[in-house]
Amino acid sequence: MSTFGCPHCGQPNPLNASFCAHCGTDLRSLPRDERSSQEARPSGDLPPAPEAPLPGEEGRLLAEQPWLQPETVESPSPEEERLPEEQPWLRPAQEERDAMEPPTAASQRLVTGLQGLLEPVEEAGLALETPAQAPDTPPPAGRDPELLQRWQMRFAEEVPLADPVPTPMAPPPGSRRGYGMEWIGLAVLVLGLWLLGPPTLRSAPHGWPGTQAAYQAVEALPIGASVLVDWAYDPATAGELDRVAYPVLVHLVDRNAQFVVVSQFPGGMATARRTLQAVQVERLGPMQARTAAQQVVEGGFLPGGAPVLALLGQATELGLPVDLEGTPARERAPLQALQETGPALALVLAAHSEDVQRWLEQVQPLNRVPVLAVTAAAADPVLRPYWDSGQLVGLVSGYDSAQAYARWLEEPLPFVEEVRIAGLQRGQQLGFWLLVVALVLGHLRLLGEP
Amino acid sequence: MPFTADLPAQWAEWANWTALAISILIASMALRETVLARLAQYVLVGAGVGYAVVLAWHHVLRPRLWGPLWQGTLEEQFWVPLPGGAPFWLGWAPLVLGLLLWLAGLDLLRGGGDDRLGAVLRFLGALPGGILVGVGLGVALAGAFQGTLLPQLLRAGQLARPGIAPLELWLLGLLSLILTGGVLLAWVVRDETAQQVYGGGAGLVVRGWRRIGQRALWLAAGVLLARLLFSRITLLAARIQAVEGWIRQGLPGGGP
Repeated sequence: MSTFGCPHCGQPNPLNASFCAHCGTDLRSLPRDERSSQEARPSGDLPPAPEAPLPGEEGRLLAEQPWLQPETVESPSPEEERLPEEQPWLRPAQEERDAMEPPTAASQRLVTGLQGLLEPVEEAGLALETPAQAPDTPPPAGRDPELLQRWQMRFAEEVPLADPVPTPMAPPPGSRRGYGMEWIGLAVLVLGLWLLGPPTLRSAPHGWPGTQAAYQAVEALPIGASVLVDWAYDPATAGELDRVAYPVLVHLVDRNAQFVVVSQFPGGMATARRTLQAVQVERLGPMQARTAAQQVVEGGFLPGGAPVLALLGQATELGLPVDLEGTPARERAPLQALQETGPALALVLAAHSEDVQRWLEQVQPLNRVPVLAVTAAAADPVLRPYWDSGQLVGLVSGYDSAQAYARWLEEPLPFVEEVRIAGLQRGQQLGFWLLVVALVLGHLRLLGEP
Repeated sequence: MPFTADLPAQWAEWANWTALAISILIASMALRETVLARLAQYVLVGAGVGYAVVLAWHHVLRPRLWGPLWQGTLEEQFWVPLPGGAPFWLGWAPLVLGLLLWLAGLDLLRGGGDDRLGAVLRFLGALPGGILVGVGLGVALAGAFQGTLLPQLLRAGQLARPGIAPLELWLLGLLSLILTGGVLLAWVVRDETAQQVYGGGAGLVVRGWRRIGQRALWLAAGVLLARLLFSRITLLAARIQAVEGWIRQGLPGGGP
């Protein structure tokens, strides 16, 4: 490796060194072309000794700063210098020995100002230069120097100009590859708090605006009305949406609604079958549920995004495919009624706000059918303006709204369902508070860092 | 066919336990990546894609494309109108466009070389690709205008009329206006441009409004992130509750 001599102590250093490895002198101001011309001083040629202190002062200085003694800056013997070149495995030991050396007086020049209290202003200023690059070398392709400088000014640190060479990092002594026992312990603690905690942290559910209007919209439907359902969730989000949709579906089954179900999710129809069956068995009993299931029209899986929905808005009966047995869905009795009068209500069951927005943008302006949205709590803030503007006749979002909706039903939900929703609410609240605690602790830790 | 999920009870139980095993294996990635965790991911993705392909065939390709194309004689296929009034030969158009798109996919599979064949395949695939993107964008823009922009503007106009809306709604509308304008300025106008073009007091107002918009953008990003995180917490709670329910059912004396 090419080396050059330190202008202060004369000892050899690598060409790209920022500080002298022997005396700590700041070498960053030394241009690269000058470095190559600086030859290392012979080992015996030591720099001129600093002015000798007074005899009394010398003793005090040596006692306070023992590293100023001449032995600490002694240069390696020629044999020692040759050894690492010939036997590279000895380098780590050499570097370790260097690291154990106390800082020299010259190394105090690294940072100006009060170290540790003030920002190293000059270092930040120096960072604007690109020491790893020669002045006449063009910048690497694709890296605009102005942009680079702007980034450096913004972050006061160097942007890596070359791909860093990965260095294998040895694990610190005494460490071992753990299985995150602390995280497992925390998870067990949280689960215990949840499962063994009080039944609920809040007694009365809070019905958000739009919940009561949703109930009234369903209540105003004529018995046996056609309801076009966009099943915009699948098993991935069914954990929340099943519970939120449950009271609304129960209400619609109680009103003997005729469902026409479509989905743009591959897993949507299977989820719809499972959930609707559970509701029908719960409200009608197994035998009548079987009959009711015959009346549901499976509109099917509708891939294709927004353009397909636009077709559904223009002519619902043409937008629906045939069912799985090859029978044209258009010939089924509920769908013929749909063709004559149109659906009385469009129900969008969606985990994400975008699915409701898409329906309101592509379908509702064309068929003018009132839309009722049942969504996850997270979708509520985005959909709230649509409720305010009257584009939604009702908005049921999250467990709270679902519970409030259930309390208006003539026949209450089964106790098991109530307990299930209460448990989910408790888990949700616990997760929320854990998140808040994690955020506060994280911020406190950041504040505590120098 | 009734709209039910008539899965035999034994199958449903096996499905639940399989789902639990796959969930645990994938969750184990949080601690360490193992062969089993990776296998569970592949099973999940493979099963999902396979299911989507089967659905696309059963719900779209067979009933809407393949079946109608092979009904009747060739003459009928071309001249007998569809129920919507369109000529039947239009049914062949999606098939041809789909095949062209597949040809472009073939080019990807063979590595997308710069030879003549690659250029021809890409050219043929560009036609259905362009139709897809163009129609999608057109429909999305028209929908955004008719379903979001126009109704929301009308609503804001209603709120802006004094005496029509309650004071809090009026203030909310004003705040929306300020934030929307600020975000637009933050996207369109740079700080230096605002100072150079407007100068003086107007420049100060534009810069201040622009900075409000910038803050609103950051705030909105934070809200979106929090929303996402919170929904994940909710789903995790639901998943744990489901697992707890299965375990209780499996234990002696446990019930549904």
